[in-house]
Amino acid sequence: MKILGEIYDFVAGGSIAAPVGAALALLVAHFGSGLAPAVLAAAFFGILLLTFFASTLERAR
Amino acid sequence: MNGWVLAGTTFLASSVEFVEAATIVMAVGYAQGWRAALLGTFWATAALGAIVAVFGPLIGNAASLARIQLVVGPFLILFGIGWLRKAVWRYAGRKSMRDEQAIYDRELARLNADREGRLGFAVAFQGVFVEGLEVAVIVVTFAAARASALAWSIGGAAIALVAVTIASVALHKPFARVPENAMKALVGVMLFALGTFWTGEALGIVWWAGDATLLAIAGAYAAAAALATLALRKRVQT
Repeated sequence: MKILGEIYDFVAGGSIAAPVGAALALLVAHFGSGLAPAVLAAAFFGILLLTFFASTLERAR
Repeated sequence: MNGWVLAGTTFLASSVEFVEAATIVMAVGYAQGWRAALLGTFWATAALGAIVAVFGPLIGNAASLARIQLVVGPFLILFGIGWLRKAVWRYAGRKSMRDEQAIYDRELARLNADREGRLGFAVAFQGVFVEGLEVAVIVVTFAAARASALAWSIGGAAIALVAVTIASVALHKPFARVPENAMKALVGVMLFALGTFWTGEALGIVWWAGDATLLAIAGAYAAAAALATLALRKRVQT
């Protein structure tokens, strides 16, 4: 378990929002192929942008 | 994709990590002798080089580019968010700035207390390996995401290694004036932007302006970091 924690810290820096947001962006991009290309790109980018804000604010409280 | 962007990103990332490693190596050198410091540095650098030499070409040749991009892209996104977030926290006063001189003094005191002089090699090895591991992963990741990127990304890291080594030998003391946080913020923006761009490509997203979109994404992330810094500063003041 400790080694998994170390890997998680190394990759995600201890953030919960970052991996969750990144996974959500991947899911939207994967399943949103019916959307217009420009809209899909905007959704993918927008989710990652919000993920950054969430990740920055989550541990700064 | 411009190779200079990749080389510049690995150069900056490597410079930051090598500056941090140099602080530890210098502390070992002055406390327990340069033999232990240089041997630890040599073996750690060799281990990192082996990781890049084995995994770089292996991953790059292993499967279709899109599949590899889909695996490595999210890593770049997470690394990028991590680097940028820490830089924002430091700019906003939520995390103390890294002080190379203080770290050097602390390591020196710890190593001087080790009267048998056995710690030196291990501390130098660990310092260089741990600081360099993220750079090695970034270099391998770049190589995986773009077939032609291995030489560019290794080049950026190698130039940083040579520059920091020369500066260390010339200065004989820790790098107290390197703008580490600004460099970390820039690396964070580039890793995050490259990760976003490549992962999107792998998922079939058509970016609005082709390769030029990368710059727009990077600009947006830099602006977001500035906004987050301002918001956190206001919280500190209230």
